[in-house]
Amino acid sequence: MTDKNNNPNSEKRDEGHPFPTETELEEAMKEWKMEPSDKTKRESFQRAMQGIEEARRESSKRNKMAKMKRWSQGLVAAAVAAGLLSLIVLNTDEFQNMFGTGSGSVGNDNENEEIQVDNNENESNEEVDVTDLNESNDTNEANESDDNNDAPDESAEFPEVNRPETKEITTTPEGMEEVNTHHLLNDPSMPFTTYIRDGYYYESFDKEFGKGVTISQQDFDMINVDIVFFDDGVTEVEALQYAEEEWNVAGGEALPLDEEEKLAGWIVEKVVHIGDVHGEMIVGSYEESYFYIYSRYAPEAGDGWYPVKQVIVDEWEWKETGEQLND
Amino acid sequence: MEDEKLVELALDGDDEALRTLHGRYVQPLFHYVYVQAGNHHDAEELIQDIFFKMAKNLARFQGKSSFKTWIFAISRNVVIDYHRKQKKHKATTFMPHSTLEAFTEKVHSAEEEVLDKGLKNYLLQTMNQLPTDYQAVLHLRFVEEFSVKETAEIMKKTTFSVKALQNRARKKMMSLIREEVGEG
Repeated sequence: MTDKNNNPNSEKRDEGHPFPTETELEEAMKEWKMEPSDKTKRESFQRAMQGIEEARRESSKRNKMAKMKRWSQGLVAAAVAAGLLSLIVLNTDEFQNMFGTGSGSVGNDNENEEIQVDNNENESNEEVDVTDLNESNDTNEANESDDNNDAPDESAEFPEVNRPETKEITTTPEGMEEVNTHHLLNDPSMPFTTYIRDGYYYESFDKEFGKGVTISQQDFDMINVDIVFFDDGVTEVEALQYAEEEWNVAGGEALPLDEEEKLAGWIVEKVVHIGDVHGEMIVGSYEESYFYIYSRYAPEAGDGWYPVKQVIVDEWEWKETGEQLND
Repeated sequence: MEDEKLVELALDGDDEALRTLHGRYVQPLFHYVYVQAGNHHDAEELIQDIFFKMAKNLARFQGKSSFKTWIFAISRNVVIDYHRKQKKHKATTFMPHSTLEAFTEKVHSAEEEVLDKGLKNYLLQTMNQLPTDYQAVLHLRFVEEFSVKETAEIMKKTTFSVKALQNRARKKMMSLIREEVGEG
C-alpha cells in the first residue's frame, strides 16, 4: 500500500494507473445505473397491481367491519340505556302514583318482588343509575361522532395512562448522585410507558417483523436505544434470530455474560458487544409475545449510557396492568 | 406530481397513479436489489416482491418520511429476508460481464471512458464481496445519494451508526479494489 492511500481524498491518480481514488469511486457510483428489462418492469407492475387490489379490498373490509362494530356498540349502549331508564321510571313515585298502583300492580308477582327490593335501597343507588345513564348517553354521542370518521380509533388499544408528563429521577453515574428531569414516553402504538431523560427524544417506526420506538439524543449522536415489539406469531427462535441480525450489523464482538446478568424473569437472552459501537441487546418476553431493547453507544459515551438505559428499564410500566417490567 | 399525491390517488383506485409510481422507482430499486442479490433471476423475484409489498401496504404510508425513503426501507427488508432465507449474508457471486451492457454511462473523454469501464468492473466485483450492510450503505449514500439521515431511516440505524458503517464500508471496498489490482 502506498502512502497516498493514507489520505485518499486528496490523492491524485498516477499516470496510467486505471484505478480510482475514493473520490473517484464515489463519483463512479453516482453515475452507476442498471436498467431492468421490459419483462421485469411488466411483471413487477403486475405484482404492484395485485398488491394494491388487496390493499383496497382490505381497506373496504376494514371500513365495513369498523362500521358494524360501532353500530353494534351503539345498539348495546342504547339497550342498556333503555333498560336503566325503565328501571328508574318504574321506581319513581310519580310514575307509580300516576297509575295508582303503589308498589306492585305492574307485571307479575316476581317482578313486584324485584321492584320492592329496589325501593328498599337508598337514594344513592338512583344517583348511580343516573350517572350510568349519562355515561350511556355520552357513549352514544361518542359513537355518533365516530360515524363521521372511518379511521379506527387506535388510541383505544391500550388503557389510559395516568403518569405525570415529567418526573425528577435520581441516577448515580460513576457513583455520584445526579437528579435529572425525565419526560414520559407514551407512544400509542406501544404497550408500555417509561421515562426518557431531558435532551432525548423518541420516534416510532415500523420494522419488517414488528414496530418500535427509537430513543436518541437531541444534540449528539452518541447514545441510541431501540425498543421493538415483534408482531404476534413471531416465535422465540425467530425473535432471537431477528435480534441477532440487528446486533450483528454493528460488527463488534459479543462478550460472554455472567449468569446473574440474565436473572430477570422477562429476559430471554442478553448479548453485549463491543466494537466501533458498543451495544447491549436484550430480548424479552411479555405474555406470549417478544420484544427487544437494543442500546448502542459510542465507546466514549459509556458513562452516560448506563443511567439513561437503566431509567428506561426501571421506569418501564405495562399499560394493560400497570406492572413494572422488573416486577 | 408528487409521490405523496400519487399514493393518495392510487389508494383511491387510480391505477395510472400506481403505474407512475412504479415507473419512477423500478430502475433504482432494480439496481439496488441486483447488486445485493448478485444475480438477475433473484433480482427479478425481489423486485416483484418489493412492489407487491409496497402496494399492499400503501395505506400505511403516512408521509412522515419521503416515499422514496419508505420504499427503499421496504426494499432493504425484502433483501434482508432474502439473505436470511438464502443463508447468504456474504454474497460471493460475481456478476457476469454481460450485465455490464445493462449500464447506462456518461460519456467522457476516451481516457475516462476506459477508466470508467474498468472501474465499473471493480465496483461490481467488490460490491459483491462486501457484507450486505456495507453494500447497502454504499449504495444508498453514493448511488441513490440519500442523506445520512435518510439512510439511517432506511437502515433503521442512527446517523452515528450510518457514518461509522459508511467509513468502514468505503475502506473495505477500497482495500478490495487495491487487492484486485495487486496494490494491497
